[in-house]
Amino acid sequence: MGDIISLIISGIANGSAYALLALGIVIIFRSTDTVNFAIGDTGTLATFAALSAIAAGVPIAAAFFLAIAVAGVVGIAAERLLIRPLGHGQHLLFVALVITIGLGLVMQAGMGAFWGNTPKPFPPLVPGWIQVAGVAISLNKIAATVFALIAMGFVAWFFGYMPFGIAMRASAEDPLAARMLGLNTGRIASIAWFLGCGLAAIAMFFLAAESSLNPHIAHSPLFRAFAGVFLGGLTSMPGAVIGGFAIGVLDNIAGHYISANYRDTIVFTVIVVVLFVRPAGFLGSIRKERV
Amino acid sequence: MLDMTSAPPALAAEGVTHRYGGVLALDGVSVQIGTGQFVSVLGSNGAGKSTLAMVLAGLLAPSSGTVRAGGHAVASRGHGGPIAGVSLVPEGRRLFGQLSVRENLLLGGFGAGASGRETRRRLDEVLASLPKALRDDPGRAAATLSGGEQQMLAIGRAIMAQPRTLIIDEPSMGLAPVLINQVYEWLSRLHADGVTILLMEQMATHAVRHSDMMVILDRGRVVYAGSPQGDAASAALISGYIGEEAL
Repeated sequence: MGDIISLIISGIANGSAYALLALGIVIIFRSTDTVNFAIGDTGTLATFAALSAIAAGVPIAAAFFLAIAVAGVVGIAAERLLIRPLGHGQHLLFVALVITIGLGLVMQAGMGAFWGNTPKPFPPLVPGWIQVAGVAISLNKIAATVFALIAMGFVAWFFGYMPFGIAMRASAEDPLAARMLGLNTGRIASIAWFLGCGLAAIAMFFLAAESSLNPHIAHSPLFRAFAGVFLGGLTSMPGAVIGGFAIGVLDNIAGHYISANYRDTIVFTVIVVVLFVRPAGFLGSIRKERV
Repeated sequence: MLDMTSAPPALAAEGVTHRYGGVLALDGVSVQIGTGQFVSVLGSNGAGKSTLAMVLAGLLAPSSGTVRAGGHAVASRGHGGPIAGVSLVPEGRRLFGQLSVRENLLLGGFGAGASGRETRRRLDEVLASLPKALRDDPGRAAATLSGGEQQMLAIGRAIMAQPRTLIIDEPSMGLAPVLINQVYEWLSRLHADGVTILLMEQMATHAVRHSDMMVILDRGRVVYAGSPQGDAASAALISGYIGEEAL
């Protein structure tokens, strides 16, 4: 029993980065109908920028906010230059998806060329460790978990109750109708990409401190974040965060009780079973339409 | 071109032409909508009514010509944008189906720049004017409403902007007669409250009964603009819907 509790606690801590990434993915998807595969690399790029700033003497807390700003601006630029010119439509979802995959690969190559491919040590935002139910957890992971939970609460409130958040959902559903009402769909898209990519920067900032920073660090977390998104529901922001945490816990349990070699297999088998029973994920909703 | 009032018209199109690629949708349309008027633009399918609605609402920049609101030019070749004080209920309603009734209404006020408090005040007011099914369950997704409920919600959403001019495109499309009556009753109440109404309709019966001016479009051109009553109006209606050869 003690094992399970400690595995869950450390799994939640591990899953915080997946949860933040998943939330970023869902914000962008729900606001602009685009699945952004470059979101992890955007966060990595911003974390490299923060590393250069730290090396130049910028305090780590300031570098943290710099990373968020850099990722946000890169996100806005990507949306304006690569996604917005495509227009809107169901068939463009796949075009945009391929474009963001390509953008991510270009970013990785660019980061490798500029900062090199060898892993670089990265300082934690909050150094130190604490014992939770007998498990030693880094304060860095605790901070990431707290950020993920605060972000989830804020985003759920913002999109559920604030007019601008509701306008973001409306804009994703029908941008022309949104413009007819006087809503500025271009500004809505920019804010969504800023928020989504900013959250990715937070995730990568915490992940880099847990291991080290390299241009390909986002691969595995992005894979798990997408799993979390589908597990929680592509349309649900709280679902994405819960899905991200659930992936962290599943990952831990599979690694401990079965084999570390079969972690991915076990995690994704469970997801397939869940999606078979609930195709929209735990908290996602199937589109309801009167016929 | 007909000018019914001495005050600057609420909306005016001056020599407006619009092309979709090689297809001419509007061909030199000039029309004035006087402040406080109830104007119907009639015509068969493909006459250019929806294009004119979009152009007059500022949502489609004309290929040539000018749109004026209150005497000021607001849209001309290549330049457009939603016109302050003008709300459009588009053909097919274009509600946000996955958003609730309340959220759809709220966006009508928010998009027009109303403050949060003002939007909430308007929301209560507009909800009170909607059918009971909508009032009782404002959390219901718009996509699950019936056609009549959706049309009422679309009008309510437009009213949330407190427009001086309401453009409504094909309000009777797909509705049962009893629901069409409800829609027209609401439009009449809005007109009585001082809102200028510009109606784009294929079904002439209701439109003619409520309007004080009628415009008939045929293949993108104005073939009649004037009183909806009298022999000239009847002849124009027959010509516009059935063709010159029918006369």
